[in-house]
Amino acid sequence: MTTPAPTQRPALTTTGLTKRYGRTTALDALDLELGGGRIVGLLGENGCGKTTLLKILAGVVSDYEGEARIAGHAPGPASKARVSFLPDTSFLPDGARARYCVDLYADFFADFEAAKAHELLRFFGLDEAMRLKEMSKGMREKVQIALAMSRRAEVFLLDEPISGVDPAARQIILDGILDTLEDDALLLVSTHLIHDLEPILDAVVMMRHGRVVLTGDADDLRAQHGASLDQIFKETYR
Amino acid sequence: MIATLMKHEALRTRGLLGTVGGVAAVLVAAGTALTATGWPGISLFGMLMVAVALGGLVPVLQIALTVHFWSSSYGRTGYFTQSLPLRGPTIFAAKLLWTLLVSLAGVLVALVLLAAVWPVLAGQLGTERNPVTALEQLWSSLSGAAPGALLALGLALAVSMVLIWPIQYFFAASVGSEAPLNRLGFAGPVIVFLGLYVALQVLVFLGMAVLPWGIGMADGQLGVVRWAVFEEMAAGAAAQDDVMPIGFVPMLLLVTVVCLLRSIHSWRRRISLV
Repeated sequence: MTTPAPTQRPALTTTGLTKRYGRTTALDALDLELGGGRIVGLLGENGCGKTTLLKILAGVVSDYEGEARIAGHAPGPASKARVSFLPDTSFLPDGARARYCVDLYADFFADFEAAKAHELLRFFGLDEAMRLKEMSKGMREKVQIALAMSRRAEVFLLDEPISGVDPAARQIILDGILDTLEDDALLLVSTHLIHDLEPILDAVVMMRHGRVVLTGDADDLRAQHGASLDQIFKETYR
Repeated sequence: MIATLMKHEALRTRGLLGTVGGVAAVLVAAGTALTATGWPGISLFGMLMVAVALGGLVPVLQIALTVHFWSSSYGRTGYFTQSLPLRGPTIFAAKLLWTLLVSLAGVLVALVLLAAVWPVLAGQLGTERNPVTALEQLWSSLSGAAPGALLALGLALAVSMVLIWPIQYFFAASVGSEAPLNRLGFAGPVIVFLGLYVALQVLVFLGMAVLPWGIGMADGQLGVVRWAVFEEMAAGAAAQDDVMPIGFVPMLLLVTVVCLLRSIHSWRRRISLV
């Protein structure tokens, strides 16, 4: 019996991706290609188009120009079955208990592992009987991350997953993310907190005014610039 | 999958629905108690409370579920809804179906509450106090005055008049959340609904002008009679006041179907969360 060679298609590609909000161009003919099995930092100043890019890839914004493909599909129901999206907002019902949120995910996502979610919630020290509205911002972020990371997705899109939480909680959240990530999955994470994420990033994409201004492997960039990603970021946006 | 979606709609709206239903029940109980006093003024106020609670139950349920529809589709929690690996029209259908079912259940609850307090109300109105007997009398007079087909049509029309509202509300919420109106928040749906309302007034008037018929008495029986809007306007004081025009019905239903189709298109192609 022969094993078919694994497909080498990129985890995501965008070609001429453009999104306008009125007269503001959030994404300006963006071309990007990222393979799987990596953790990629999506970096840039406020309003550079990071969140818009993630929203389009997640399939929650459909009025764009150009082409986007993720996990082998244009953004839509088929891609959503393979892409786990964590927006930068509290997207679960305030009155829901963490336990119900696990059931909610289990009902809709075929690749969701409820046992893994329960384990992550325990790892984060959360009481599943608590309602989200009774939790602090950091606790809610942990619940959302536990759910998003408990899918066996091909691509994870995390929008500012550790913003607004204290440094100790950040490390716990990052540990939770790393522990659950499959080897061949792409994790695209947008952040301002480069210093905290730098140790885990395999590659970065830096954006400005809706375009990619710098991209490459983290080690290559560090060697090329003789500086940390944090310093390269500051230099790029000075 | 629609059943699963509806299960979660039920779980997520049961508190809201329970609150609305509970408030209506309390108002009906309080209104009935005031009516039972028989005191002039107070008794009338009590009957008004009952009428408002029963008459307002379904519209309030529909508006509450529309707000939930909007917030769970286009607000913060919309990010979860729109990330589901399902076709947009499937999600829309489940939400709409749930709202239509709740609307019909609301009608039933209102009728049951009315039957429960009927003896007190009827005592003040001086009519038959037994609700079953009162219903039999109503049916007897209606069936004596109108043919069965007309009654069935009237019932179907009454039900459709309950069900068209969520479709129009959901249309306003969906289209009002498309770019560029989505940047206005809840004002987007309000603007679309106001536009729909104005358009409906014009179209309904045109419908009555094009279809000059109404329901009125003819040879001692209720039936379809001629009722032309321009002729009635020209008649002034001599206009028929015992005819219910029906020309508006096809136009209203047609507009509702268009709203439904346009909403489905919105869910298929125009989702844009901000």
